[in-house]
Amino acid sequence: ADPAEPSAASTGLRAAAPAGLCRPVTRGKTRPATGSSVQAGRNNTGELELEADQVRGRIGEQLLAEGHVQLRRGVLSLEADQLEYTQASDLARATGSVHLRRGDDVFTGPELALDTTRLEGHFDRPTYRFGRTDAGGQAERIDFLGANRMAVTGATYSSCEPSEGETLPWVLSSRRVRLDFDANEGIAEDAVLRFYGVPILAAPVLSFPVTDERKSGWLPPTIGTTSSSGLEVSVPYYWNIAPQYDATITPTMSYKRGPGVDAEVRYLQPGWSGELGFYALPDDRVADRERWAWRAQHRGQIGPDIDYQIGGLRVSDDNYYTDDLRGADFLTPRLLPTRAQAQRRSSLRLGGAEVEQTIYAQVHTWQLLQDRSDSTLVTTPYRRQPQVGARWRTVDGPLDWSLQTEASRFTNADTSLISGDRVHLQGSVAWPLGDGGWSLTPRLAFNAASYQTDTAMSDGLRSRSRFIPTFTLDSRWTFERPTEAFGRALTQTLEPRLRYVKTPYRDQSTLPNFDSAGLDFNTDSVFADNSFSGTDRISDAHQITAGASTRFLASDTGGELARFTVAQRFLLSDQQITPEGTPQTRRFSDLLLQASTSALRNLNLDGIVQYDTDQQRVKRTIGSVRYTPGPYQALSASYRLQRGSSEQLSLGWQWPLAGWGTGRRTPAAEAVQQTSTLALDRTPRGGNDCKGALYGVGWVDYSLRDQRLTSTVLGLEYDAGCWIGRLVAQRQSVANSSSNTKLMLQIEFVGLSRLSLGSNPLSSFKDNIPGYQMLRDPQGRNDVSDDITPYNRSFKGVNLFP
Amino acid sequence: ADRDEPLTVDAGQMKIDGKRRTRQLTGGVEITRGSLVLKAGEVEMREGPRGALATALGTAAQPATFRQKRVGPDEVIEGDARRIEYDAASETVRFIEAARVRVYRDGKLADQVSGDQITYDRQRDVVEVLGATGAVPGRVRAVVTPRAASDAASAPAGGAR
Amino acid sequence: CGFQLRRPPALQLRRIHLRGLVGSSLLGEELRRQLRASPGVELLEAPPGADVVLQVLEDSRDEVVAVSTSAGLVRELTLRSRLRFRAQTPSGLELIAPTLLQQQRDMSYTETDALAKEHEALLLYRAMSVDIAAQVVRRLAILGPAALVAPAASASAP
Repeated sequence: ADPAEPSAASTGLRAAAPAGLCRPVTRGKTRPATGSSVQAGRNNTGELELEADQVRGRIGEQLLAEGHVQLRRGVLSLEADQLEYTQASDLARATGSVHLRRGDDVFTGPELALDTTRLEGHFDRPTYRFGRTDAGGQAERIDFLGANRMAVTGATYSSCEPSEGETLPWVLSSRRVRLDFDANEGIAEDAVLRFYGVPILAAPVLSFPVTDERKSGWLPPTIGTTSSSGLEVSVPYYWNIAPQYDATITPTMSYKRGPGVDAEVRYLQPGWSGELGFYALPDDRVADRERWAWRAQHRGQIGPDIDYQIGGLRVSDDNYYTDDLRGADFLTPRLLPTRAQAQRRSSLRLGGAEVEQTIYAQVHTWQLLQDRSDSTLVTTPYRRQPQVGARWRTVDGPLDWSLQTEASRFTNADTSLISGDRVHLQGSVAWPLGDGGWSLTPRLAFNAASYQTDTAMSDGLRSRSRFIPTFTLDSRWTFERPTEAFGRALTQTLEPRLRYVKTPYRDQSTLPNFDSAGLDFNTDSVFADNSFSGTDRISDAHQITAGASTRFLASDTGGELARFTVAQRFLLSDQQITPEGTPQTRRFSDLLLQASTSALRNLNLDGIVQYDTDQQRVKRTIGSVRYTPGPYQALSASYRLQRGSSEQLSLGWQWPLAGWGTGRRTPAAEAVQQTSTLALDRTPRGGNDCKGALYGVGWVDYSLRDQRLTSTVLGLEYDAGCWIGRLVAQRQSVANSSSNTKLMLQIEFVGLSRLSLGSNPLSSFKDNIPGYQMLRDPQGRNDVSDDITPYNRSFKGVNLFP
Repeated sequence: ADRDEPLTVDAGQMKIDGKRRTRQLTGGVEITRGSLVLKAGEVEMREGPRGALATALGTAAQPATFRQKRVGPDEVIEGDARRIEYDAASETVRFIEAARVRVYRDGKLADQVSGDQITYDRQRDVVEVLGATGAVPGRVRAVVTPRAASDAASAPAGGAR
Repeated sequence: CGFQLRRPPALQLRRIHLRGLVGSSLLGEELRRQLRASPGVELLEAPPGADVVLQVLEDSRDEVVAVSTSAGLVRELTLRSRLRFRAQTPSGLELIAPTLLQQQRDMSYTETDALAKEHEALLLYRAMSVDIAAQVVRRLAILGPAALVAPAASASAP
């Protein structure tokens, strides 16, 4: 069946996480704990099937079955040694190793009396196991109070397999638990959570959801220590306002800085959705002033083809980042954008060709957090206040042409920088010739702009315009030959490319530069017409770029196993306008080499080298290797050199140190094994295959230029089968001299919930360790999963490149 | 009640064995007694001390069949098996081998039981089903329609143990 | 050395229904453009009548900080683009098992040139989209009518 497009209202507010390869706790899609076919309050209907070795009784009145008795009716399925069924009162009384199954939950015990229609009755001294959380325990008695309600007295609950003599690693015991699956509520009275016998959490009343739906309630507290704020405790309260709205209010108490509160509201409607968050520290005792941060992200659609986004991040002062306070996480932590933009896409027919039209508008401002201790201040980027534009592009037809016009007002927080308006029009027409094997594409383009500045430009004028045409001729060939390598039949391609670009010189030195900067020199930009990005600077060009790449493709699937590319530009005449500012007289540009391969099993190698042919030395290089021999095993290393700017070595690892994962396969043994790369079938069978495994996790960024570690995370993850412990120490440099260290301890009770000390290390693992795999799929546990706690490092807020 | 009705027999051929005082009925036999109807390919009738004893033999394809109205509530009992033994005196029917018994309440199929051997004692209104007898391992399967809560009260109280 | 000019990858299975693309994504536009550019290919709006149903399972892109100065200024970003797709016949026979194609590009960054870097990132994302779309077309070109019967091999490429 066609998987239904996820309608906004129904997707709910939680993203599914990929399943870990240890025995995943539960499948994401298991039915809720109740027999889902019994509506709230209605009876269990349908015929009653009875199977046994012997049946005796009066037809229509009473049946006595003996010997491996099985009873099935609607959602109910029951097994026992003996069973007496009274048809008149519809009461089934089972004795002798009774197994009762309701949906995914199994109850076993010596004796059960149950009305099979109203599903009311009691079970003495049962043990039970909930399928969805794969956890259970014993109880003195369970009273079934109808289809979806039950009361359990003297219950213990744990996901650990009981082994004689040893105490359960963790167990939640409570005097009485009332479960109401319709109201999605579990209330435990006098609940005590014991970890290896030591009570670590006691609550007179503990409420928890029993189905997947979200439920208001206190989330596990997080306690952490950071050098900038000292000990900090935060206890989030999750408020499930309505199916489409929820809020998380988190009072926080910092030892050094005092009390604060973080509030985040999330909303999801068919036409629009988003998040709104605010953190306030009314009286920061360290900085002796109030600190706050707000964050917002709103997305919406108007009609079928207009969509808009509004979002931003604002903090109270420049030191907000260096003090590592909450609620201001973003990709560029010291440059916080605020942006509102809308686009309208439509396609129309123009002169026989189908044309895509996009009309867009946006307002875009920034907050740059200056580091006062640093001598050089960072110049703030320009603001677009506003920018309105339109783009047209042909979709098919013999000629490819495109046209774009835009009117923008650029201002800057730094008043010494010139502000002004710019209207620009750029267009191109190309005539692609050839078929799949070769192609020749002549292309004519122009870039016209007129400026109106608030103050005089360097030549005294306040308005100027310029028109710059460009002609390019691009030719590509693709040659192929069958070959054989890495033990597989391959097709090797050879793809030479020549591109000629001619752009006349037009002086733009006096014109303001709002949104242009030099492009990185790489295998993509070497073929670009302009050496600058943006509109304000168009480099003159009379050059030919030659390049060739060869790929190795698997003949059976067409998949690419390896690729090598080389490219170089040849200047036919000097280039006046260059990113470096000085005219470029060298005839041959730097040589670019790029290689990537995944042909060797479990090994990914990537490399880029930019070699300066004149000074015979490498100007820029990036090399990375990633080794992932099996589940939960990832080693990655990368070296980045940008001569004169940065040189960094990064290591990332997730590796089993003890228990299941280690020592079973040495890389040599690895090479011999021919099974599939993702070692699903090598997971040992039977029992909990990840029990007692200790993993080392972490990454290190070492700046060779500054001779210091810019960021270090060392972590240990211990998977004891029914609980997972994470201990993480993180050291992040926040200013030239100072850095902030953070300690996080997290215990995840599989089947219950997570108690974390400090922020959640999981999301930072996923972002920074290439190939990191979560040990267990936290999805589907009936606890209030923690990924809706406000402090969540991977909050992207307004993403930098929409 | 059926006890007082005469037992009539209709068969293709009949052979009387004086010495063993049995009658051998073949060629499609139908025995009726009031609401009771017993049909089979072949039936052996014997005169017991207190009344007739019939042993009906069917084949896998054509099992022997039995039908009778229950005492009291408006229900009909129907059954079939490879062999059916009927004791007229004690009004007990024993279905042997691939036995199936169905109970129709107000004309609708209410309960059905299958097993290796089923015994229906009409006077005590008790059905006994044995899953496995002798070598043949077998299970009893019963499908019962729970009484709607409303008419539960009308059912006769008590029940055989 | 054995190289011949490649015949155009005339897709043997020409009637294609593309599904699973949400809204306007660079990758979606590029995939449509390259499929239309292949000789004889026809993009259908609905599965019936199509030779191949190309279903996009995941089309995502994100940015991660690769290098940042000790003062928290970002110096290098890694842009990542991911496409997971599968190809089936309208009746559900699997032609290409779910396959993940991912690309990444590194881009230098300075906070001052935020606007310019936004344009550059767009160029890099577009280049990745062209590359990934080309790989999808290559994999479709391998499928001949015979594939409509044979089971599909699953592969996960870089």
